[in-house]
Amino acid sequence: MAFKTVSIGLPLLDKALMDGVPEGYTILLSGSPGSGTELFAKQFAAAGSKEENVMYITTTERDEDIITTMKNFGWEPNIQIVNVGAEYYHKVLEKELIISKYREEGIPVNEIFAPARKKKEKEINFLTMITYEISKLKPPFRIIIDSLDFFLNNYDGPKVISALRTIKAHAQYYGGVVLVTMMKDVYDTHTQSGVEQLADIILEMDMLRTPKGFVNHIIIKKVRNHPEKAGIFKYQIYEKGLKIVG
Amino acid sequence: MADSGRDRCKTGIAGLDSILNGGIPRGNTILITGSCGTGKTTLSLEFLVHGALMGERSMYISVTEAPEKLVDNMITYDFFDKKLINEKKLILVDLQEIYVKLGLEKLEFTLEDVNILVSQIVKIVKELGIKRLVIDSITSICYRLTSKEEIREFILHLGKELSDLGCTTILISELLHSSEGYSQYGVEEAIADGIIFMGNLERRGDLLRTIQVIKMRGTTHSRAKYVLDLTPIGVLLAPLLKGGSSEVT
Repeated sequence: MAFKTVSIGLPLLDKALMDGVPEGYTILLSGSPGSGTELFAKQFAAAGSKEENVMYITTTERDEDIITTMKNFGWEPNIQIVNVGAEYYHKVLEKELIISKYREEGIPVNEIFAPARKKKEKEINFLTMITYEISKLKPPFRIIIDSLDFFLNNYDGPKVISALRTIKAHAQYYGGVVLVTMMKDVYDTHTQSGVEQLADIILEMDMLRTPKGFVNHIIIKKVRNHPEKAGIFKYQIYEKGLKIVG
Repeated sequence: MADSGRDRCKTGIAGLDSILNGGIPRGNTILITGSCGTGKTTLSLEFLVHGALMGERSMYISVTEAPEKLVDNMITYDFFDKKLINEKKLILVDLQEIYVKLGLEKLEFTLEDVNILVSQIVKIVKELGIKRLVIDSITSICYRLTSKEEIREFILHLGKELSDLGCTTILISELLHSSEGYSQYGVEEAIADGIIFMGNLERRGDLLRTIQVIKMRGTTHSRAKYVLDLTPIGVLLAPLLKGGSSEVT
């Protein structure tokens, strides 16, 4: 019996996997900076934008940058963007900016007596925020979290993994797919293996410097129950996005 | 008189000014120390109110209690006039609010944090032209400093800057029953320009409040123990009749 699958956005990679990504699967995409994981994430989002509800959770880009990039590659930006980065700026960074200004220059006398914060202003938990947003998604759906690094930098590893487990369970139950990006080789083994264990598919993007320039690779590191599918593929970037070559 | 040369900051508390030969030498940073309930806050508030009434802008920095509560407590005193607050002659500051603004809501301060806090206090004193300052209490600030060196740096630095601005400062120090000497950390008392010790004394079943000037740079003073009475017209000092009394520790 074949799995019901959806496309990952790169036909040859679909073939190398299980003729696509089985519904309910969680994909971990790791890579070093500059290797193209963000572009991959957008291509993955575009692949679902016709028939699925796509939620794109970003921690670093502006909404308009995501949309413009997608349009430039000819992809339909028919996606819902949840901008954790912007929210984080308003709720946390903006305050820190004011604090650092006060620390450098001192609090101006006329601001000494102004209340420091609104009464009972709640500290926002971004992990809870995204799990909540995801829980509202109607199937069929695909979720992109770009990237997990933000959460790993702001919360304890076990908490992030636990939230990821909830998201994965939700996707399994409703037959959605999840793509999570994460930086390569920066976390402790405990966190790394915790995330890797949850993932049904692990992909890695890599850049190799050669005398002729850079050679890009996508490595299939894990496909659940299919160790034989591990492999290494060259890819290039065309005007229509990433493409597996030769 | 030998020490008449230095300008005095009259506390306005009759008995105390005479003990101090006219008042606290202006610009001094002194420690008022004692265990809870000995009248430290009341005494220092009266010091501020009298200053404000004499036209010296006064400021009270509260570390642990909301300043509004303090106003409620002060209303019972005859000498207190709410106008002083409305006209900003007496200014109450909640240090917790400043902690939030400076990102100091943490249990331990770094040396950088200490310096930022001192600069902030000095900035307020300078820009508002504060002549009398009370910090209630210095112990709860010192609680967040991690070493005696930091406490030393904090009080020295603060004292020096405030003295340069001609601001007379009272630091309230909470004394635990177990602490030796006149301050919680032992450092405060060595650096302060003066120490006023407030204690309890039992005499024939009564618990009396006592006050004693231990040291005061820049003036001669009595070192005798006096009885302190908190009355609606303010703090009253009376000589201590020693018969039948025993120190409460």
